[in-house]
Amino acid sequence: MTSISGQDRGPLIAASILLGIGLGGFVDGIVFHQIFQLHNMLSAKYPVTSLLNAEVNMFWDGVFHAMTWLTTLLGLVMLWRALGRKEVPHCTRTFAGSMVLGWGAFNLVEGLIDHQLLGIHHVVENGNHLLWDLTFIACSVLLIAIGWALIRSNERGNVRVSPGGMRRARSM
Amino acid sequence: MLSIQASVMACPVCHSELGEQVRSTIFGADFGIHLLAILTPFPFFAAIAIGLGNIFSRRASREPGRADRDERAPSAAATTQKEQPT
Repeated sequence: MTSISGQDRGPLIAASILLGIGLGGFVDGIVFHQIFQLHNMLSAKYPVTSLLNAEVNMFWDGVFHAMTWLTTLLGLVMLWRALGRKEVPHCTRTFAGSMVLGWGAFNLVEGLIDHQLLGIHHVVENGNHLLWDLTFIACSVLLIAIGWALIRSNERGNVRVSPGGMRRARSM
Repeated sequence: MLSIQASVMACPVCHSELGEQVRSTIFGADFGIHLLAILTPFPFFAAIAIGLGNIFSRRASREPGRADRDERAPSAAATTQKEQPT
């Protein structure tokens, strides 16, 4: 046994955060854009009150989903490369924590840039959208805190080193 | 029936009056601004992922004896532990 702090978790964390960001983007797109239809990418500028505006928003939703798909793909490629490296531990907590942190990071950046700074859409377009936007940001901070706590908790765990060079976290 | 037909003919590549309106709205003067707005968060996402990854990598490389542990096989590590005074 050797301490997990002696291993390099950086590549695993970077890859998992990107995966979390990409999957968090899909959650946003599927839940808010498609299932509940509370907003679309440009719904503050083109309110979905006509077929024309719905079509325009659908196009930009597609561009957004294409970018989240690329982010997820990049995360997968980075994860594959990281897991092939001898010095990178296979820690479930670090992986899960980084994914949750990535999800929170997506919501935070999206909430600050798209909702507050650019104002291209809001979580809920009708009514008091500021309250919903701030709740969204608060949830993102909570997700980041949970992810960070999971990553840090793994520092106190141990990692098992197998003869083949595969490392697995003991505290999973 | 008419509404179904209209929605089918409203796509950005449809040859219809509404399709033309959709195309002209999407690829109008604001196309670049809209594209920039959609893409703006993504460099931040990349910076967060790579930045945090680098922070943890640097932290790991600063820890003493890491190189020894990386190269040491489990059996070798056990042997070394026996040699060290408790």
